[in-house]
Amino acid sequence: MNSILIADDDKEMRELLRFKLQSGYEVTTVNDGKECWNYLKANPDNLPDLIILDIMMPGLSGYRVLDRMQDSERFDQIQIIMLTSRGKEDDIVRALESGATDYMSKPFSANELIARIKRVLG
Amino acid sequence: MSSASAVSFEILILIASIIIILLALTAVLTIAQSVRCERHDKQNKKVRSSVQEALLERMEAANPDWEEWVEELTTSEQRVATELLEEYLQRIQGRDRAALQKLGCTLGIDEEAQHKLHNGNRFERFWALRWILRLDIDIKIEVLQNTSKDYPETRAAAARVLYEQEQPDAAQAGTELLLQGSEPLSVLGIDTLYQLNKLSPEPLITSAKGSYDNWTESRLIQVLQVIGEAGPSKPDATLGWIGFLFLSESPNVRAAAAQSLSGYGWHEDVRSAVDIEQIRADESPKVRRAVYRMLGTWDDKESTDRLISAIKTEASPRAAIDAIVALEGQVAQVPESDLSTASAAAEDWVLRSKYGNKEAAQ
Repeated sequence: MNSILIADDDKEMRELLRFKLQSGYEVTTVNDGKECWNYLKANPDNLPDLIILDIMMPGLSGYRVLDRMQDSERFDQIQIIMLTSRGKEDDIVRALESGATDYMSKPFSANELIARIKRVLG
Repeated sequence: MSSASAVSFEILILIASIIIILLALTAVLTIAQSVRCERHDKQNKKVRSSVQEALLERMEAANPDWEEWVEELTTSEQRVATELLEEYLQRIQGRDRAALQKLGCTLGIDEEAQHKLHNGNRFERFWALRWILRLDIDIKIEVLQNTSKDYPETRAAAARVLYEQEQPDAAQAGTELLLQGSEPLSVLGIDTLYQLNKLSPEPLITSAKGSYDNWTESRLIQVLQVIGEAGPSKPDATLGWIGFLFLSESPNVRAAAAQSLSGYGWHEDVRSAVDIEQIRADESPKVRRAVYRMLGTWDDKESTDRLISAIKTEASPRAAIDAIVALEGQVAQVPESDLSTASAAAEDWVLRSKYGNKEAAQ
């Protein structure tokens, strides 16, 4: 079973994503960017296949997590779907330019997200 | 002691007693209210996870049968279900959203929203508009206009409904609704005005032209900023009125006017209505900075020539930086000896901040 790490500071968002994905994936959630980065550092042998990464998080934003991940080859295989706010074209462009595999705008459609995850993970 | 002073002493005692009783009553009521809220919170927390689990599971089901579920819920569980519903409707789209909206109707929120919109006070109407948006309740533009026109908050919320529901004429009707009154717009109001006009700002430009005279300075500046951020207008949009704003006594208005014209340099209407040479020499550095940014965005030969003239005489260090940045690399055309002192320092600063050192840039 593929594993997914959800990094979002919004508790309801984490709950919703976990609920929608738990039947098909091994899901772990973290509360912000810093926890996400710490999780990746602490689990080098058990890295997730995909991260759903919110952009706007306190402490360490999604962009900064992405930047840090790009500095190390061991994260190269992790696919990343960024969560952006609706209509923020700059966010989408920056996320894709920073190495994100795909993006989803909030509010999101769960079925669309699952389709994107399936496409990304193959 | 005279009898008159004895009477006034008694009156003082009476007033003091009344105040003490009122204070004690207020304290008791406050504590009672806090206890009640705390009890509600505790009840809500206790049932939250079970309600949440059942709600999400039914959301997934082909037939959620919300009626059966809602009938089984206690009052406090219904309250939690309503809270969760609002949280999820803010975050979710598609099939799940449609399922949750049916739950909202089963809980009777749609009827309550309609009732409060027509009969409620300002806060109840605001609540109603929020739920009309969340539940996508069909509502006529005229109803929104009539029930929300008396407060800026309700006007902003009603305009948001028009925008989010993508109603025909949303831009025109929403803009008119938002621009009623003269007071500054709320954050929701500004964002909604931008969203309604970002692709085609004609409704905003036309409405503003007809009513800007009656607005407060803050409102006028807000609207000018939105015009400046909005997309290109039709060639025949009337922007000439903005030229008159450069005669305003307020440098903030003059600066906002320059900012608003940044994206419209190609309009003949704008070019003929504004005396660029005059506004470039404005006494306020704040206005000159906005004008330099405007000329930088226009980016044609005439604007570049004006910027080059400006950096030869500009005395304000901050304004000089804006002029140098607006010129981008073209500042190299000007011999260093021709630059004003402020512009020479600004050029040095801009190059260092961009390239690390001036030599590397050259």
